Amino acid sequence: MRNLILMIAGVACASISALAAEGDPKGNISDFLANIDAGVVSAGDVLGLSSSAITTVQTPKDLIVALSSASSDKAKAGFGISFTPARSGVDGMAVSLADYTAPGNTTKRLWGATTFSYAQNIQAISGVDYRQDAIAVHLSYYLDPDEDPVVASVNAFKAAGCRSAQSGDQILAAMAAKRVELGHSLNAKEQQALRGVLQGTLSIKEALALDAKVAGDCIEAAVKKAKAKWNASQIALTAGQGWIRSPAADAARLTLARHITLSGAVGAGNDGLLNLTLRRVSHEVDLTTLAATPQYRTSTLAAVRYTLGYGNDRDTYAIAEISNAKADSPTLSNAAFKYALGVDHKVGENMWLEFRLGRSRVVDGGGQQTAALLGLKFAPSTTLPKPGS
Amino acid sequence: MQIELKNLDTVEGALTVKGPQVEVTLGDAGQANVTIALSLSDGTHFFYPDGSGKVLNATTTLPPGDYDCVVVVNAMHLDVFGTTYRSKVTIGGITVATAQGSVAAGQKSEQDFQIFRLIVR
Repeated sequence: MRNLILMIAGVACASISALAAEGDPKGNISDFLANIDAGVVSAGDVLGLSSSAITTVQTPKDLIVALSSASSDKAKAGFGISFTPARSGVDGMAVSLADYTAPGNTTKRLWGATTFSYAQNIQAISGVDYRQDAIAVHLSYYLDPDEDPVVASVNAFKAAGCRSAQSGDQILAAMAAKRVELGHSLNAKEQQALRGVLQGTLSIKEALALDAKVAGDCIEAAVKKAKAKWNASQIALTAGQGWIRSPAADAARLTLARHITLSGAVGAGNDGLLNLTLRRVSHEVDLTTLAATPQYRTSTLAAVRYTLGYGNDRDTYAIAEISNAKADSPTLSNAAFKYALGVDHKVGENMWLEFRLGRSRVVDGGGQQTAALLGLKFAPSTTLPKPGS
Repeated sequence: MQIELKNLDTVEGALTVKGPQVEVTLGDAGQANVTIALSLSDGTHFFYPDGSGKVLNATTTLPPGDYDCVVVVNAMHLDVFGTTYRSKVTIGGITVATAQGSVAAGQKSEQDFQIFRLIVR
């Protein structure tokens, strides 16, 4: 059955590709759409550093350890720090969860979602080890606080079922029993003696664990639900810069690239999502020219996409997109179509039929070409980038 | 985690407040997801958070008398926001319990409870 479907998809793909008006149609379904995500969101991304090399600072102690690592041998293999001051617990910079989630606290939520990062590594180019550094700042903001997973984690407790106090009731029962046994109210000494006994009592431990589980499950369910909302309204801003320096003693530090991206996702009812992305990569050095006279390039992507989701389980998506993608520019990572239409439909468990029709610039000339592609994808989700990411 | 009791009569382990209207606040100024439950022997429960605001601020009517009380603090690090907790419970405007610290690396939660008496005059 699977082979039959693949064969049908292959035939359909070949047939539709043959409909292309001019030039070679794109061969990859993801090429039809511009990359509208936030792009570079950390200094590690600027350098192409693995996320495993990034240390996320969560406490003042983490920050000290991370900074000391920057000068160690570990840094040579690739090293990065991701620091969200508001979530760090560092006095003067930290924002409490209560402040972040309080209604109307826009500035606290903006600060709470601002992450600074630094990364460094050594990259071998033509046999020479170049040292690279980068810094970046990333800010994301949910336009509707209730769609923010952090706010959702607190709002979960509006439901009485999440407010479990079974351990309190059991401890009170034990206090009442002790009061009867002693014939008087417990004084400080007797209270602490009883507390010591109760801390080792299995039923109390189980009640405490149950209370914690009820709360934890509510939080995780609320966060999961908020994250799963496919058309949450969100804006994100990222700015980053990288530098590169050769090991020669008198070598100047050159700009690797400057990145700035502004992206927005605006939900339209339950079924629609409008994405807007403006991304500029400037002063991007051509690594092949480093040994001679460095050459720099600049690219700008502006894209607007509207996505309509159908069905109770969002098993069909229709997409329309316009961008300024210039496929004739060698520096562009956004070699996408200027105009694109698409439909993704879930045809079975972990199986998506994807259709794209688009019009792009011809790489070797000023003309334009139309191309179409039909594909079958075996995956839990479509090729569509996660909206709002 | 260690909940510290404050402002209690050191011998009786009791806080004395004026009633019958008694104000109770529960709150946390850290970054972890924290729940605080205050249970009284008359069956009254106070719980933070309840989704209504930064601090739970409630007023309850307590006839003069002696009440057993239990406060339970549960700080969770579920990769939602942060790891620190700075919890405080006040009764009648007096701080009666605090807890401060950070959920240890590799742990999802830390808990503690304390017991004391509340005397309403």
